[in-house]
Amino acid sequence: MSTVYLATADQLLRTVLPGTRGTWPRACAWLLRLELEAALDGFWGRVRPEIATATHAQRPKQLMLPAYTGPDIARRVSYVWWALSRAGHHHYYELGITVAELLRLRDELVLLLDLLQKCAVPTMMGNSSTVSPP
Amino acid sequence: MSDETLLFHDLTARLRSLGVPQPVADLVLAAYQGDQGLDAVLAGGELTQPGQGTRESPGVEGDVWLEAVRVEGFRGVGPQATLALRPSAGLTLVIGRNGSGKSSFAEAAELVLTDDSMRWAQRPVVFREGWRNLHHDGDSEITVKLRLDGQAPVTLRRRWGKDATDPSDAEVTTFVGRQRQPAGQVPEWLGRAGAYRPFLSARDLERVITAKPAELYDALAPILGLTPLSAADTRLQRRRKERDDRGKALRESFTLLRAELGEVDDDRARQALAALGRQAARADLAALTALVDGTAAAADHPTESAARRLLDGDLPDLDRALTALHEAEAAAARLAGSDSAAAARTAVLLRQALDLHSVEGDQPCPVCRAGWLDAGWREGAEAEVARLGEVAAEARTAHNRVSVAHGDASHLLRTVRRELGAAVAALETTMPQPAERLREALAALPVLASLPGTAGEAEAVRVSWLPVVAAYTDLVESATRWLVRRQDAWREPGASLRRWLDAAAVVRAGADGLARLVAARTALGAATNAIRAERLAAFVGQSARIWLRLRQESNVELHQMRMEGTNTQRRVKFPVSVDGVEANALAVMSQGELHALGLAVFLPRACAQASPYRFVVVDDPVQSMDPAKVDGLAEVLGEIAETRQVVVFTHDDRLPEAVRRLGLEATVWEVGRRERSVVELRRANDPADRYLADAYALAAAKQLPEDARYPVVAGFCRSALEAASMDRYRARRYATGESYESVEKALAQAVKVQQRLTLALLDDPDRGGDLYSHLNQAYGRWATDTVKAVAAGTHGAHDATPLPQLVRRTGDLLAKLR
Repeated sequence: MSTVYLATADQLLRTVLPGTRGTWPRACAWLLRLELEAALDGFWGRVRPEIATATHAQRPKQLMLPAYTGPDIARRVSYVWWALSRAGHHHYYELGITVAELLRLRDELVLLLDLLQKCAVPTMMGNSSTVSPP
Repeated sequence: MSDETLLFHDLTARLRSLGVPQPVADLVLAAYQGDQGLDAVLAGGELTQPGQGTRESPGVEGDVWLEAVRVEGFRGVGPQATLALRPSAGLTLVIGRNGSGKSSFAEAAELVLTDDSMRWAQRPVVFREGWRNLHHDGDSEITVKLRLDGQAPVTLRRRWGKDATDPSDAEVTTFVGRQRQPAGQVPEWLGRAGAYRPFLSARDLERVITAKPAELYDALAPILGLTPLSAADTRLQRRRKERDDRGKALRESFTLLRAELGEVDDDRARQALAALGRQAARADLAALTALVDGTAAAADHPTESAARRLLDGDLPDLDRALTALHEAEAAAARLAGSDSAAAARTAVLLRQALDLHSVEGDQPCPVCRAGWLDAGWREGAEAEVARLGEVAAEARTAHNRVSVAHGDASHLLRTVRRELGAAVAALETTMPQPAERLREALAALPVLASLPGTAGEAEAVRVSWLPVVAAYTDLVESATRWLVRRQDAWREPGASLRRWLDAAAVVRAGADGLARLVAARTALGAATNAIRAERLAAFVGQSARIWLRLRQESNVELHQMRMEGTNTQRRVKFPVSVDGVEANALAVMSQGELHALGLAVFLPRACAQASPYRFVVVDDPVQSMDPAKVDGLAEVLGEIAETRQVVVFTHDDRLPEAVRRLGLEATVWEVGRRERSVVELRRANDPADRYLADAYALAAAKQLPEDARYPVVAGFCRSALEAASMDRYRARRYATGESYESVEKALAQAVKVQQRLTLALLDDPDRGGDLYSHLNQAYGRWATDTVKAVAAGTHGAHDATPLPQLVRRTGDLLAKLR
């Protein structure tokens, strides 16, 4: 259940829109991140509505995520969110994100959207990310 | 079972499945076992069954982990600085700005372990001189401490005097436990550091690009562990070459021998040429041996034997026979004057007269009628008869003597004629002139009458005998010369032929062996290819997986990396495709991609199963990588760190950041360098600290409902306590030399936070009941309360302790645990 963000990002990825030269990769990353956040809000709205509406700050919500989705999805969400944020911000020492990397992140994002969608409302299980032997 | 025994069994199975005949397979296996066994099997002996040999090397049983690197006065490090590592699987990042001295630790460890002073020596002068720290006046020293599972730790020390300029000019000391080892005696596994190179520096990675295909092959070959196979091949090859060379030498001398024999005008040479034929391999050795031994029937054999008989035999003493005949004739002639015939007749007459007188008595002589036959006459007549008898006997004797002498001479003459005639006939083609002269002389020799009596015969023979003797002497001389010449002509070629025959006999005897050796090498090659392909497949899979992670957005796909060829043709191939188009990796890849390819190729080698090293040191792997590749690298390193000790030196914080974002466990050391090369190490971002930071952050997020946050925060607190407990337990256990597996097994069995704390504090999983009283006594009641609240909180209980207090107390307890 994707939103307009993903659709717009896909449009930027596939076609040349006038006036977007040079800026579209960052815009695209930003849109993808918004899509992820929307999906997370949707997830929280489903499993714990108070969390969805409580704050816009992402870190506390992401810290909560493993307790509800399990460590694997949470880690992947965290990574994609961070990678998109990194691409969406301006860095003096880093070049803009490439189309191939955007496509990879987009594909991972689409997988995560699906996983979040399917994630069952858990019975409270606490933080399951125990320290595993390295 | 050691690697080599495994490989031996693998090889045996391969040879069987390839359908290699048993004698050939035995040869291959013997070659695998060593020189002695191979020679024995080649000589027809039995293959030694494995296990009886001495090949089982007492290889390292435990795994080797890196525990500490202490550096003083080397590269960027001035006063002594120590990088302490957890000697177990896990990821350690050592971060520091360029010039902070972090790479000095990597280089120091590499230098000590691989003894790569050669590589240093090959560097440009500026580098060579730069190995000493500029700000350090005293001796330089590197100490690397290694932990071996289940064995005493090993410490390697390399020390240079303050005046040393050459890095290889070091005093090297090895300690096993506290025991200093005699100079030059180092553990066997140390030698394998070169093969597996648990070090990856930018220089190593560049080898993918800069090394020649054969060098790259050699760099990768050790991971396959096929060295014993190539050693076996070398052994087979050496023996094949020996035989080949002998065969070649035989063919060369064959040509020379034919040329030599062709120049000799000798029948034996012609026969030898015929027996040699056109091909050395098909020469008739039996016929040639007969020729050399002189037992062959040569075409000039009649001439030779005639000549030899001529030389061996003497000319009959015809002279003496003639003289004897002459004397006998003379004696007979002397008697002839006394008319012995008349004497005989007179004797007959007298005997008849005596008979008459005996019968008739005295009477007048009936013959002369004047005399008177009486007793007186009788006496005289009887005496006369006796005398006349003697005369007759003498005459008979003389006659007989002449007869005998005549017979002797005749016989001798006949013999001479026959013998010399035969010699002349045999020799007249070889030496016509003297033979002809002898023939003429013989023809002039008169024939003796069949009965003696012809006077002067002997003299006539004697006269014509002299030319015979002269001609005979000539012929003997000629025959002698001819024989000597014949002998001389054959001496050299005969000797050459004998030498060649001896060599040919050796080659013929070794022909079977040569065929077996060739077959054995083919079989070994086929088996090696199969084993290599199988072993490489696993390795290539690893490489491909790593590449897949590292390439991220690259449009270059790495296909099956291949190791091909042998000897000078050996090489490594990286077939790739760019957007589906086939290409050569080295041609189409960017610098960053090649760097990643280097990691993909060399990381699996450093982590090869056969390597005794459980650690890998990677120096600055993120150079020229874009962000996505750094993320991929972090994933790869994290994956390897699950079973290996991975120590990564890096100059920027992209890698630590990626590691954190990917939720990977890692220990991070920050390296800083003050003035005058004072290097400091500070532990940053401990996992327990990270959990605690997360707990603080979430505890402060009051917008979120507390009942939702409480178990999560408690979970972070629990993770922090568990991480610190495990660190403490590991550190203590490793210090006692316990193996990695047994430590991790104990930790894995402790699943609850209380159980892990019990291990950390009481060191005994069965003393769980004592935990709370121990906490009370050691730290106070709050400690027990905190542990209880954390354990309960993760399961949803959230009324015991307020969140901020729970986190704060967890922090306090963490401080105690460290």
